[in-house]
Amino acid sequence: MTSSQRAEATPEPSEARGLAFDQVYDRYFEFAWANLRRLGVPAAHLEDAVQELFIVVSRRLAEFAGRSSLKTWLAGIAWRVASEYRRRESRKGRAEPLPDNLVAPGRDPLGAAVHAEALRQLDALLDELDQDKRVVFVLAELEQMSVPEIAQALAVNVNTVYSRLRAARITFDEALRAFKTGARGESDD
Amino acid sequence: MTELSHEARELIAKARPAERADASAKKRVWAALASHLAPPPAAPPSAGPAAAGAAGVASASKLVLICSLTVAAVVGTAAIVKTRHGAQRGPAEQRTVAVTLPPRAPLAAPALRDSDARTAALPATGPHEVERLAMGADHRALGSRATIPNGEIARKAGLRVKSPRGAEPTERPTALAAPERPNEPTSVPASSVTNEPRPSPASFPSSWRASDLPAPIPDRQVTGITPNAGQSKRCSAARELKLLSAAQAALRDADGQRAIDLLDQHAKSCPSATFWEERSAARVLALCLLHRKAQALGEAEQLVSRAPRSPLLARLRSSCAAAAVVSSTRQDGQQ
Repeated sequence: MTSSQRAEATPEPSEARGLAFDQVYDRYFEFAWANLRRLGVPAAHLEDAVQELFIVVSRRLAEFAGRSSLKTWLAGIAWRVASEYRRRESRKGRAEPLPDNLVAPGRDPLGAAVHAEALRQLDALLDELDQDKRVVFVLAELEQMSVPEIAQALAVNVNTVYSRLRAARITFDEALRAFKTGARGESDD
Repeated sequence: MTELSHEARELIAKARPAERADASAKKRVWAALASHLAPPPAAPPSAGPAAAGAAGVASASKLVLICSLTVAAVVGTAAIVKTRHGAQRGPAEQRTVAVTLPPRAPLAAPALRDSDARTAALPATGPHEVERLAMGADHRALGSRATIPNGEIARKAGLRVKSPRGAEPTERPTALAAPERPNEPTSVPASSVTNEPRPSPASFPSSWRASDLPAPIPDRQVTGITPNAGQSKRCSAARELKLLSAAQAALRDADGQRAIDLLDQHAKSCPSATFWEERSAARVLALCLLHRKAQALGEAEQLVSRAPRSPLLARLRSSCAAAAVVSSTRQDGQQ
């Protein structure tokens, strides 16, 4: 790591100091939920995975020294929890997927279904990425974290993150193009 | 550096609202966490070297007490047996045996806890009985939480609890009773329970209580939408949504003919579609765009007759087919 990169990676002041566990839970539940989901934890296991993440947080919160932002720290934990779930899933076989005609209840069922369909597409495209690229892509493009933050969360070199992100963007765009082309072909039938 | 395409960014933005967890999931996870995160009840918060020493003294005195009671019970049992055996010899010998029982001075030891005192106060009917009751007291001394498996509290409240590693996540126990403690004395002083360390209620948000949580929903009620059994193979949810979204986009562009074409395509592939109401309403609007008012009125009347309470009728009230919707509303009002 060069000195300029090290300067770039200077952690921001921690917002976690003085935060009690319940405040961390309240503030970061949505982040944990969405992040674990995007990292490939199946919907059926999402609550369990979030619970596991916060159990780790409760045990380690006192050790959190504030050298990075809390979000970065949580992203690292989420990555490990999601990896563990994937390992378990690969041993047991994939969970039964939900039928795709389930629509979230709400005032606007069509709108909800459009969002759900977009989410399904996003999941399918994320599945095209290998796990190293996926986590970098998710943290950069969906969580809007900076490259130095991602490097810190995953304990990898900043240059590695840059190269994985570049490759992930290319793969994602290609997969999206292929998806659109396939969908267009299907509608022409 | 390679930037992400505009289409990809659009897709991410569109998917974002569907990624959010609902409030009930947040509460459920919190309730399950509460059962995991309660502090271990073994040592009091002020535990230090001195406290550890005191605890050691207490446990040593407890051991001495149990030993002495065991000895007393053995001697007592022996005495009873001896008494029964020697009953034929005369009452003077019995009186002598009763005097040989050891005094119960250890009961007054200051380090004793409630549970020890209860054990000590029990009638010494035999060594095994004393040991069993002493073990029962130890169970209670560990606190009710310690004897309940992880997640039991949340499960009993009808909540979803993290499965242990390797366990099948779909297995949901419906009714779990607290572990039974056979032969436990029925009268347990309240102090034995309230003295145990508990998770501080202040550490949980006051607005989240198990009683606030929703009742478990039966699986069949989760969506309220059942799959259409007779649906064509060509009609997937994705295809249905795609056609309807395209038709709506055509309506926004005031391209009535394209909207009609797409809706026809939808009707052909999905005759019993989930979104038939949306299709019907969109067709009315498209016919209005094409100035085919009579057809629009006919289509609107059909929609009104099939779904008189559809929220989409509100949109049709401002269309060329408003008459069909308004007249049906009047009829409803008169009835």
